[in-house]
Amino acid sequence: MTRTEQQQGRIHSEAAEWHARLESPDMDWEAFGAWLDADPAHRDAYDAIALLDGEIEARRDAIIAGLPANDVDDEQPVFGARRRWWIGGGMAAAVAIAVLFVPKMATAPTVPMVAYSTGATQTRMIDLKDGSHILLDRNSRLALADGPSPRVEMQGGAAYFDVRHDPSRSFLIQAGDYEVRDIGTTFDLVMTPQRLGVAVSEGKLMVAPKNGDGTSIVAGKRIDIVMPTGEAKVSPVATASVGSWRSGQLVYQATPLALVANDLTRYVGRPVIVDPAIGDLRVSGVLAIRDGAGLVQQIEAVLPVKAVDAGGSVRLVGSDTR
Amino acid sequence: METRRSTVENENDDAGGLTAVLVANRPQLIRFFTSRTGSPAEAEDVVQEIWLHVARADTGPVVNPLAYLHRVGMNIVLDRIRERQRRGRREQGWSDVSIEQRGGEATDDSPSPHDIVDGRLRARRLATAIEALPPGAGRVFRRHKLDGLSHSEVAAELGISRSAVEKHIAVALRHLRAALE
Repeated sequence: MTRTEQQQGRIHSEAAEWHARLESPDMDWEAFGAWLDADPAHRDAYDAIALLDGEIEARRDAIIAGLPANDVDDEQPVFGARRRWWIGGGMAAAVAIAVLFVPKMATAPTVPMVAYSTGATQTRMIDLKDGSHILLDRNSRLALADGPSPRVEMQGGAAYFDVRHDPSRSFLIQAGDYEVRDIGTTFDLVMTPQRLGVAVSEGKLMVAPKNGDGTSIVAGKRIDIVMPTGEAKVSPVATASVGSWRSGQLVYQATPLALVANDLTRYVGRPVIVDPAIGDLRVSGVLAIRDGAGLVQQIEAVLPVKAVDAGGSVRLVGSDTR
Repeated sequence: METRRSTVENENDDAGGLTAVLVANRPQLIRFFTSRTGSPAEAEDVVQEIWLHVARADTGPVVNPLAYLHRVGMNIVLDRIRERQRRGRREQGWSDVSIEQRGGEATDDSPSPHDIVDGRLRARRLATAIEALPPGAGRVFRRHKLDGLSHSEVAAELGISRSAVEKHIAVALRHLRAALE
């Protein structure tokens, strides 16, 4: 079916109107559904508008940098309106100005670090200005300076990173005495006081001792570092299982129990310590995280292991040791 | 782990409340996302993802839980469309770009210099198109989209109604779509 330009124009207008109304308190979702159903062209038109809008959001900083400063065309600012302007848009305006006048500030450490932490039952999505995302797992902490060259200081727990590759800036993660850099990828990072693990599901990155030479880790590989000794091991990982905690599961393939215990610690809310005698036991399979409480029992069910309550922590020992 | 409140009346401001709203309105959500995606099977997937999201997300109090669930689903649908496009582009790209193979693995997943230049050009085109918007729509659009003010904040600042803000945004989006076609 061919449409007149007029009909096409009407469909695009309607699509834009629906999109602008999504946040409205009296948005009528059923009517929107009926409109989408009325003609397949409606869905295509809506997709185009929503994608464009999403793209503008994702490229916001680059667009702002390409526009003249926002207040230039403000005619006769009334004092009241002006004041609200700064209260409401102060931060965004400050960012815009920084981008416009001092693009070389990129590496200056003027962007404040913001701390994020999660409790035992919640994850938290952190959206960075450049369109990258970090999903912070339960019982995890990091600090972020979301500047033109973002810096993350991982303090403990796990986080799943989806970082845009962009050679014009650097994205650096510090984790204890190590750092992750040259990132253009999605990957999972798990940190405990003793260990650091980075598993890459897409692209590649570099893991290195602070200021030292690094190891390149590509998709399908993981690196596990025992931090006090610096002993590191690179091994294969199924990309689909990287960051599986995001969907409430822990997926293991012949993973040493000592590494599994890192994950358990995060969900059980107490340190889970593995008797060195069984630290090399391998775990394969899928554990359901749920509220975390049942994880230790699940381990007891699949391995010849039993959990001993040791005061503030849980100790996993061989089930035949008495 | 969930802390239940003693008052049972319409407490929708925790994940448990949202999940309950989702369960109660599941048929309506499935119906809507079937319309949105054109596929009942995909609608099922989307509603499942909404559930995962609300079961785990750190949401503050939600004023209108059902609308919130719809909006979460709208974002999920958009992510899926983007992912499909990205995959489509990547597969297409493979026909004319040689990829470094190491031990059978493709190691070059980063955007090519070409993509990055593309991104810059694209941002410049968007900026130019935003600059060329009709003045009223352009100002509202910039305050909302680029400066991050909510619809009601823009309305208060410019002394216009919320629905006027929506109209301006719609006009702006329609112009931008046409300009970037």
